[in-house]
Amino acid sequence: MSWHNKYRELARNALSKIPAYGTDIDLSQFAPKETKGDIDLHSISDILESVGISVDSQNRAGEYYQLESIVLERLSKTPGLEIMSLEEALDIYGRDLEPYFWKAVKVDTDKFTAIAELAGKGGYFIRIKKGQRIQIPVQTCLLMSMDQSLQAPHNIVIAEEGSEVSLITGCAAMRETVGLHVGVTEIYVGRKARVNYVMIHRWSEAMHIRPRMGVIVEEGGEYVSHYIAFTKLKTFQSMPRVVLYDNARAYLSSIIALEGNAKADSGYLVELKGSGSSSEIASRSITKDRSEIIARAHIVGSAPEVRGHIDCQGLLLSESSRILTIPILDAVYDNVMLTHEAAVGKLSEDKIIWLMARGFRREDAESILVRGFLRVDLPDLPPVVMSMIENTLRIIAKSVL
Amino acid sequence: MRILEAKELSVETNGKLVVNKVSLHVDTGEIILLFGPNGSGKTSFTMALLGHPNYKIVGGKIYFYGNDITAYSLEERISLGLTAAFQFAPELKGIKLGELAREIAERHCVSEDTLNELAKILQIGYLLDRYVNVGFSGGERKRVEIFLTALQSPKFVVFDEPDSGVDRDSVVLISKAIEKMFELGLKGALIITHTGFLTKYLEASRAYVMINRRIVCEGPAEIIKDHIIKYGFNMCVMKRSR
Ligand SMILES: Nc1ncnc2c1ncn2[C@@H]1O[C@H](COP(=O)(O)OP(=O)(O)OP(=O)(O)O)[C@@H](O)[C@H]1O
Ligand SMILES: [Mg+2]
Repeated sequence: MSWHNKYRELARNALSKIPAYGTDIDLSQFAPKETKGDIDLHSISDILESVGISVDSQNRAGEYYQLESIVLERLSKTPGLEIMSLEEALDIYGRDLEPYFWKAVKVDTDKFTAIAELAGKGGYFIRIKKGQRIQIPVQTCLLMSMDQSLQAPHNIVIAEEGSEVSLITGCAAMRETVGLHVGVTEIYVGRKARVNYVMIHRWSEAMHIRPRMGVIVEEGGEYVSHYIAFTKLKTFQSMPRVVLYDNARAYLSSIIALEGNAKADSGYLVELKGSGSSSEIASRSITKDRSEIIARAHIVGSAPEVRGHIDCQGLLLSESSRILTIPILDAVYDNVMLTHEAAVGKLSEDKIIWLMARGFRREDAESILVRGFLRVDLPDLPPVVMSMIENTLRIIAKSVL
Repeated sequence: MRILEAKELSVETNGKLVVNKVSLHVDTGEIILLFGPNGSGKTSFTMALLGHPNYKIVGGKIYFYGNDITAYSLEERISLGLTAAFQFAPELKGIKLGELAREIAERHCVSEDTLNELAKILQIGYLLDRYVNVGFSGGERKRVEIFLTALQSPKFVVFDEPDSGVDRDSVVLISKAIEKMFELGLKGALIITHTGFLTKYLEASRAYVMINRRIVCEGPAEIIKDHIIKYGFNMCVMKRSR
């Protein structure tokens, strides 16, 4: 595969490239692990369910499971839907994949994309054929369980013209481990196609998480993303880049609730490149203990009649935690409409007292307010996906206090 | 039977005296009115009755069914069946009115039927799917506040200006709802009002007038109301000083 060498070369040159945001990590501490033996997914079904993965569900159009660097399972149950590991896809399609290979994310972005190319294993390749509209979700699951492990899958999703799919990606640590997770995900939303992408994370205290994501939405396409992390972790940094062409739309939301000493630097970069394209970024950050969140949102409008809106809200649940919101609006064309709203604070004592006057105990009043804080108005999603998200948020609201 | 009694109650907030030796009582079945100019201390008195932690009782006592509850916490007082419908209820973004209403009703063993009936009386059915008070009009907020308070099936309520900024038709709805609350177990009410409009539909027995942190006069509700409407609050001050 000579065409591939070019990317390896670029990666090698970027191996020490410091990331633009977030804490730097010494990569030499981590290596891919090939675990042995069978694991019984049923025995960890409660962990899987907490990240939206349903082991026995009939309500899934297809599945992909990866533990450390081993692909456990990949299966499509739906015509017009292809699911395999990236290695398999490269074997089968070879150079035909090049237009989708390191195009939405650059391989030499930083040391993390570089290590994913050079040492990463697995990752899912999912393609939805032209015009196929799949109403039940595809689920993909990435699990880690070993110390000093590097998990760096390279995922590629291609939604061909006029297709529609919902993906649920659940990532979790099966026990307390020290590890580095670098998931590279490239999503290509074709003309008038729609991709709903829900990602739920649940890690352990000593882990470093560096998702690297890029999304390209062609004319009239739509991308809806909902990221939920209610988790312990050591450090997290991610800034997916979403590029929108004519009349494409993106709705990007994230809910991050951290505890302990966790530090996250999280956001989205949206490039409104096509006329009439529009995007909304909504983030909800919750910090407990000594955790810190930097919530970024950056919209660049460079075409006529584009619209962008940022809504960043932060909730501090402890004295020594910190939330920093950084919304950036960049208009490089005169006929654009970019707006933002942001608020950071504690739970309102007035609201708590009023709820207590309505007969709630203080803890219940607080959890009602957290539940309200977590609710973002999502655009229409398939009912299975919607109820999965609501379920997850209910769990968060209950346990966050 | 005496439901609620405040004896020489003094209250401070932010280090400032906002209620000065107020004495007032409500007996079983009574609706009592409390009049008073803006800033005279009516809401502060209400918050002190509730046990709001920012309103510190610096003198006097509160009795509920004869028990001294002056040292009780907010939570304890509410659980006895004492509460207030707020003058200004907060907006709760992300919480649907219907969800919250059901939670309150369930917690207080109020049936789904009663909930629906109250929603009908107050004509707020169309608001159940919206976030609590977000974008509600002034009148809608007042009706919703009575609705949620009713779902607690309280024994005693201070209604803090339920008829302010409310049109005549809504005043009728609110009076009907308060009547319904008495059917559901309400034993007495103190209604803070500037207009006394509600007394057209609800029978109030007595009224108090609060001026500058004190109760300055007390008497039959109709007489006090008529005097205030005719002469303003001055007449009360004069009566007191005589
Ligand atoms: N938390 C507070 N901090 C400072 N001052 C306060 C506070 N609460 C009340 N006050 C002051 O106490 C006085 C009484 O206020 P209160 O709200 O009790 O009046 P009110 O009789 O209910 O008036 P209105 O008819 O306008 O509702 C006012 O001067 C008010 O500014
Ligand atoms: Mg008041």
